[in-house]
Amino acid sequence: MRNLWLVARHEYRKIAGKKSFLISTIGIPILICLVMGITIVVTLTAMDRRPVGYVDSSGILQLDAQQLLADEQPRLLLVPYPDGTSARAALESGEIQAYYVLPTDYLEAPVAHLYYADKAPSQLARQRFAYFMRANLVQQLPEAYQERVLHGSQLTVRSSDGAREASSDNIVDFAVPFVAVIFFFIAVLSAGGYMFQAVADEKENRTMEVLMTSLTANELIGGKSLGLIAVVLTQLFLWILTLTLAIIIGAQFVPELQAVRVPWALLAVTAVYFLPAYVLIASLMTTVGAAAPETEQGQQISGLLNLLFTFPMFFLAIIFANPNHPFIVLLSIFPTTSFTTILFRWSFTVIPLWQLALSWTLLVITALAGIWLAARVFRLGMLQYGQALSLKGIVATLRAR
Amino acid sequence: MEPTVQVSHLVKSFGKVKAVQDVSFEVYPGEIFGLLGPNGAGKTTTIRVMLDIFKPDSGTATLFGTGALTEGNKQRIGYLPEDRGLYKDLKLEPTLLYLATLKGLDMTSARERLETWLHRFDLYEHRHKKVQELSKGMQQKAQIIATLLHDPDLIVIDEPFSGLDPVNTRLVKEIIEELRQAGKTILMSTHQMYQVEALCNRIVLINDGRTVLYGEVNRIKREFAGNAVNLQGQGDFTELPGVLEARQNNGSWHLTLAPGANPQELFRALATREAIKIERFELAEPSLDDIFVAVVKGNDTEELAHA
Repeated sequence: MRNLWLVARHEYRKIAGKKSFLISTIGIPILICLVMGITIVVTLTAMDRRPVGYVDSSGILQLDAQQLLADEQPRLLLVPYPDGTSARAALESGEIQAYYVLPTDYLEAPVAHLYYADKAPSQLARQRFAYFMRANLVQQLPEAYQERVLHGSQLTVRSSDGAREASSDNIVDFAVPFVAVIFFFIAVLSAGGYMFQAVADEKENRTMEVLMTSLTANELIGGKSLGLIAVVLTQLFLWILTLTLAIIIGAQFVPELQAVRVPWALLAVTAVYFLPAYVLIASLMTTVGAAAPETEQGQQISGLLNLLFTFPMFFLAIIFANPNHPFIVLLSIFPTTSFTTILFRWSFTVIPLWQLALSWTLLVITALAGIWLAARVFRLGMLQYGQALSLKGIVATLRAR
Repeated sequence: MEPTVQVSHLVKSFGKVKAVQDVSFEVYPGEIFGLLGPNGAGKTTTIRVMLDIFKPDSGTATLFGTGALTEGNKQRIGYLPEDRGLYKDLKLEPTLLYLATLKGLDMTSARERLETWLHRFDLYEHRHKKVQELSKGMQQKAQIIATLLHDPDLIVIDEPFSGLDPVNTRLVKEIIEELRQAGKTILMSTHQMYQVEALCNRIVLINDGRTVLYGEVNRIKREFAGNAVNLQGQGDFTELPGVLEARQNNGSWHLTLAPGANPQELFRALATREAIKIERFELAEPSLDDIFVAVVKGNDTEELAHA
């Protein structure tokens, strides 16, 4: 057990000390900060916070209707003017960025006129006035309907026990699967590659011989896998921390981000699936590294392995349109495709509990079997120094006690 | 005394290639044992089977009295492979500490011991360099440190003098001798016969995967006395019948005879040749080099292995 931890620690330090790892680990947060920074700068520079004026000849607009929008974002001051002349004067003096004019027959012919100087009012201003208009118009309706008309429809799919639900309300529910899958593939392509490389290199430079006089194959492969998982967790922690901070900071400047709510259930599912899925691909990479006689040949095979995990991406349209199709359910249960498929389905349907339990259990069992397979093939690879492993040889070793 | 290493009728093949066909020997505590043989004879394969890196097809390799290599026994082994087994892209000090801790040392003891060894091998100033930045000789010294740092009872060293200059070669020889005196079991594989002659008590010579010579160095040399002659004279002494190898040195000739060849018959054959004039002819005590050549080059080698 001690050796297992020693190998894990060594592997962690070795990978985390590589320049390529540092670049990919720090590169993503830098990219996130950059994107958020640009978004904030663009939002701030494009945002004109001067009030918007209006001239209401129809008499339907009540300033206190803004109270209905008390929780609405964005906030912007609306100023009523008695006539077009005073509103125009305010516009020319720069007090307001634009003003609307509602004619007397607005309710019969709902056309409003917008006046501005040389620059069209910001999206924020137009959005705000549209809210204000809507709030005034719904005031004539019963209070129970006002909220519904103001905010439109919300579709929520719930499981029969009411414990889980999928809602179209929270945009983050749709964003998280994509972000998680992107993170997964970046992690797989970088750290999974390290695992393969580490085994192939040690085999080529014969460090393996020294290690094998100190360790068992299980300690070596198990330790490497643990080290790699720790590396991935570090990477993920840094990425998620940066993303969270970016959203919190960005929300101060970008109104759309204030509506973001953390989808805890989806995040929990992501975390629960991510680890075994990662262990599985890492162990398969190790198997290829141990079995392939040359690094180059191993890299080609590892490319095919990646395909096993990215397979559901080819069926995104079906997942979105028909998330409970038997084929999609099959992809949800199959170990190499379950992580990606479950995440994408999550936003569009309530996945039955038995499917979640079955797919996760299969994934964990396959991941553990993957480590076992890697250790066995690694051991066989040691026995067949410098020679390619035949499928027959691998099968014979796996069947041996 | 119980042998530390007991190898019995070892056989190991890789596909159709029979790397080791029948190798047997024993190594005892307090001795330096030479594992010799030409390139491709099966020395390294024998070592790898012995250390449980390869599984044998048949035969047994027993270390410390047990067949299976337990974790405890693994910590008692120091192995220097012929191809240096160090991480090239890592720094020297952490690499050596890692390997030492895998052998059961705690970090504090490993650091203390490492400092002593680094000073002794003149590597202390280079401890923060990456392994690949070190010269070939330095890497060899670093690998020797990795082999000895945990104070193993069985030391298996494959070509320990590879890449070393004369000063460091002497240092390594001194250390090997110190370890022998401390009661360690040392198994050394090398092509440098003069080093074997200077250090080893006993040897095994493997050729084509089989044991062809086995026993005490002095006894083997006695048995092979008469298989080499020194002579001085004029003429061409190459291509003589019953002579495996002819070397000229400072005007003298050293002839290695084939097994079974008689020096008297050689002398008579030389005397009948008009183109040759002999000034001196004497039996030479064979060096291990001569014996190696005689056994390996002799196509009709008779069974010389001694149990």
